[in-house]
Amino acid sequence: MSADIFGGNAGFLHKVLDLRGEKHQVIASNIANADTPGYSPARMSFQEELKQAAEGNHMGMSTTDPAHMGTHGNGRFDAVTGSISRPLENSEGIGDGNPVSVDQEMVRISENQIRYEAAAQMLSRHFDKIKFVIRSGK
Amino acid sequence: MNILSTMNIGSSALSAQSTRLNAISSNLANVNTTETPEGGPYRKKSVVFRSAPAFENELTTREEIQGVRVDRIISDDSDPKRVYDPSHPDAGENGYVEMPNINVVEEMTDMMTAARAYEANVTSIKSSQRMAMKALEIGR
Repeated sequence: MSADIFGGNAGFLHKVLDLRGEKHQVIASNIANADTPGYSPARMSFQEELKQAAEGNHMGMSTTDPAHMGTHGNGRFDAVTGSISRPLENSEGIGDGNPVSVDQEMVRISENQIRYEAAAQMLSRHFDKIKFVIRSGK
Repeated sequence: MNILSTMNIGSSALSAQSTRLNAISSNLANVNTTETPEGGPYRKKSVVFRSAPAFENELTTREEIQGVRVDRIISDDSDPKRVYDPSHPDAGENGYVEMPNINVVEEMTDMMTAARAYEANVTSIKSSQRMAMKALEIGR
């Protein structure tokens, strides 16, 4: 996605913002459905998948054969989609078949928000550095 | 992430919860209503929620991401409360009046739950808004 002059970090942070944004939607939909009978809360996880993509990036693997899969650039981050599961499916809840716990979801939503903001800030700093270089240190 | 569609999830819940609050207010207001256009005492109304896709026209969002809407409003058909009050204009021959089957305590607790659920969704919308503002600040 991002051009190479922005460096690998920009592509990574871009993906983090995307995924956090989507996770936010998942949690928001759990909160919205806290009183819907038979609804079971969805959980989104992507940390492992993203970690693997990021680690592959730093290993600097070289493609010595045309049949090798490309490992350069930020393309691999695009493949990270995260997975959504419903671990509490078919749970009874408090009798309405709905195991959503609003307080737990609120904790999740604020944690996710803080992490999103952290990534946004890091991306901002990253661009600041580039700006600093472009202005030749002025 | 589409900022506006994220807010749609919260707003669908806000309208669903306020419909629920409306039903509760109507139940509380009619706690002593003995005459209705349908005849007989007022019947307790309850709303039924159903999860629904929050965005009709978006193909890119996952199906797990759902808003909520009011599926239907049901009338409680259980027997009305019978209160002995021969002086009441709607009293039957034996002096009993048929009163609505509404439990005020139940309605009050339901109202508190609905209000809290509403607040939780307001917080989730605020959170989306803050994230969007933060994203707009990138590179500023």
